[in-house]
Parts: sequence; structure tokens; C-alpha cells
Amino acid sequence: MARETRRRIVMTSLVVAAGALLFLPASVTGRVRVWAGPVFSPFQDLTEGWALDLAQQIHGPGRQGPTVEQDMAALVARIEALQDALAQAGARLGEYERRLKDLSQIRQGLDGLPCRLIPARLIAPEVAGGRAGARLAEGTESGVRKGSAVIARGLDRGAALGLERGDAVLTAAGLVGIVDEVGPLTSTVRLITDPQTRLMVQVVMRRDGNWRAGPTGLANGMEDGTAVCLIGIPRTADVAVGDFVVTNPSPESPLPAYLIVGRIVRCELKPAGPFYDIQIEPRVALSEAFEVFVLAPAEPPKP
Amino acid sequence: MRWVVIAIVAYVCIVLEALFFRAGLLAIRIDGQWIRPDLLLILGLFLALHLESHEVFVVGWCFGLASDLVSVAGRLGVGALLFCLVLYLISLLRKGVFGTRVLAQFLLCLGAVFLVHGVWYVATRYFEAAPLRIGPSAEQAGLEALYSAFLAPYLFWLFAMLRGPLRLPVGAPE
Repeated sequence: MARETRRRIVMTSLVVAAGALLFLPASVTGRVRVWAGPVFSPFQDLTEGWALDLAQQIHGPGRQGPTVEQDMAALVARIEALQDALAQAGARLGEYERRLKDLSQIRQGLDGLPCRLIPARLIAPEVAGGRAGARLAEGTESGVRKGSAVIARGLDRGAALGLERGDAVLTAAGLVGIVDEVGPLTSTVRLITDPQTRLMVQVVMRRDGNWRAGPTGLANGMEDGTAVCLIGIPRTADVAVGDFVVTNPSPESPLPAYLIVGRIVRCELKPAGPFYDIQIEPRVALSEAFEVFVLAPAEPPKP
Repeated sequence: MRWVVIAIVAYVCIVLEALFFRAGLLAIRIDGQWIRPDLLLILGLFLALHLESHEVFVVGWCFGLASDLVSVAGRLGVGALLFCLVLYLISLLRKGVFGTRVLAQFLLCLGAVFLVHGVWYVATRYFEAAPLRIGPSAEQAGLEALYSAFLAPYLFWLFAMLRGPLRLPVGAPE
């Protein structure tokens, strides 16, 4: 009888012990398994190279199938490649979203003007060293001086895409320049700070909470190529620092109307002069501009 | 001495299982799953037909715990509980089992391995808070039971050679 009781106690204890083991934390269980692993598989290294996958033998006689380790390595490599591709696609998508936003902003500003917006990138610049201009690659012998301003940039689009001389080059922030020389695949952009660039513009101002159109004038790059000056504004006109300058809506203007050129940063009157001495700061950081849009005619020219 | 022999044979079964029935060797791959026999459970079944019930309970518990330690997933104790309960149940019902018949060994092993492995898979998924997937679990347990059942008669024959050291009664099980 005592033996029977003892047996029952042992059996019950074992069940309780197994039940208690169920509630061991996973970390403890893992550690115990790591410890017990070499005890129960002491000669595993011996059979490591004897891989014999019967299924592979049946389905493909004569072919040695990949081992689990090879499968795992291939999977890891594939996951890494997919992660790289995902990161690349994410970055690309971000860029596309940004460009799309810029495009829709420009389109909105153009107010239904029939035209094509061609995405482009600015490339090698030219500089204005005092009165001279030269490609940067040519160096000081060609007149490039330290501190000289960029007045022209290359563009990675050309006549092949229907670009024409005089097309506006802009970003969502405003006008960058005008297409000057057009090659088959590339072009040159004359920036709005170039002394040779002349734009018909209009001042737009906010007075007493209302926007209104101001006088018209001519925006011309300054001689040092660092800014734009506004000429032809009579001294009687109502202009002030902070007013906006946009392209002239007049039909005579070769550019679409109301493209932002810049803001007035200096507005002075000389005692005997009939016009204001006005300086405009471009809204686009021209030295940093990279991705731009070319405002081309709606219909590309026939070859 | 009997217990030492049982422990040695059990250890040899575990080592053989780890050596030869791992992925890429004698494990069979079906539908992406590696199917292995359960040598330890087959030994447990053999002992369940010959030892006293209370001894079978203890042996089953120890074998189950060893099986838990060897497996790579699941909680400790699940195998111990399943092995001891199933083997104990078989030891109680063994009078109706003709343990020397090949077909009986085959069917016994088929049922026991299917039950233990099936419940083990489902319990492991339950404890890991994963979807139970009873169908795939039953499929894998069934295939493993089949593999084990095909080996069972041969292993029973081998284990029968150890009747002397194990001090088991000669002839048919009780």
C-alpha cells in the first residue's frame, strides 16, 4: 500500500514538474537547450558533409540539391538585395513626389497656359568675372576670378525635346533664367542675374491688406552677375522694399505672365534722377539650383 | 542496471536521430517540411509493452523531457507530459495489443506518434500565440507517424535483442 502511494506521489510530482516547466521563461528554455545541444548531438560534425536529400534524389537524380545552409544564405542575400531595392525605390519615390508637387505648383501658377513643362537638370556653369564670362573648366587664364558669380548654366535637355531659344527655365520657387543656346541634346541657360538678360517685369505689391499690380519696368542682371536691378520705374511710382517682381503680363513679353522673378531688396531715389534705383533678389538660389523645369511651347517642333 | 541500459539505449536513439535524421540526410522533405521518425518514442512504445505502468510513466516523462531538450522550439514540459501520458495509457491497455505482430507495432506506432506530435505542434503554436494551423500540424504529424511506423518493426526487433540486459520477460508482452 505504501509503495502504491509512493508511486502515485512520484507520478503526480512528475506531472506537476512538467506543468511547472511549461511556465519557464523562453530565455531560460533557450539557455537550457543551448547547454543540452552538444550533449545530445555530439557527433553532428561527422555527418555534416553527408547530406543526402532523398526528395532531391528522387526528383532530380544526379543533381546535388542545395543544403539548408545554402538556402538560408541565398535567402539572406535576397532579403538584403530587396531591402536595398526598397530603399532605392523609396528615395526615388520621394524625389518623384517632390517633383510632382513642384510641377503642380508651377501648373497652378501658369493658370492654364498651354505649354509643356520639361524636367531638366542644370549642369556645368559659366561665371561672370567682372565683365568677362568663361566656362569654369577653363580656369583663371580665361578670366575666372575668385568670388565671381555664375551667370550661365548648362542644361541636360536640348532641341531633341523641343527646347527653343527664349524658353523660360524655372523651379517652383520662381524664374531661374532663359534658354540661350540650344544644342541637339544640351542647352545653355542664361540666368536672370546675367547682365545680358533683360526681362519685362511688373511690380506686385501688398498695400493695406490688398494685392495690386504696380508699375512695369525692365529687369536686368547687374554687371557683377550677383543680383538683378530693376530699371525704368518712375520716381512717382509706389514701390518699396519687399514688393514682388513678376514677369510682365503684356503680350509683348516673350515670357509667360506672372512668373516670380524676385523681391525688391533695395529701393533708392537719387536727388536728380527720374527713376528709382532698385535691386531685386532672385527668389531662386541660382547657385544651388539643380532640378528645374523648362517651359516649352505646347506643340513640339516637327523634325 | 536495467535503468542504466534504458538510459544508454535512449541516449543512443537521440544521438542517432540527431546524426542521421536531420535536414538533408535521412529526413524526407515533403512540401517543404522535413519529416523525421521519432526513435525515442518508438523505444518508449517498446518499453510500454514490457515494463510496469508506473515505470513506463517515469520513463515516458524522462524521454519526453529529453525530446523537449533536443527540439529547437516549443516549451519544456510539453513533450514530457505527452510522452508520459500516452505511454502510460498504452501500458495500461497493452493486454489488448499483440505487441509481437508487425502490423500491431506499425499501427501502435502510427497512432502514438501521430497523437504525440500532433498535440505537440498545436500546443507549441498555442503557447507561442501563433495561429494553430491544425490541418498542417496534423499533416506533418501524420507523415512523421508514418515514417516512424515503417521503422517501428525493425526497431522493435533490435530492442528485443536487449531483453536480457533490460531483464524483460521472454516471449510475447503481457
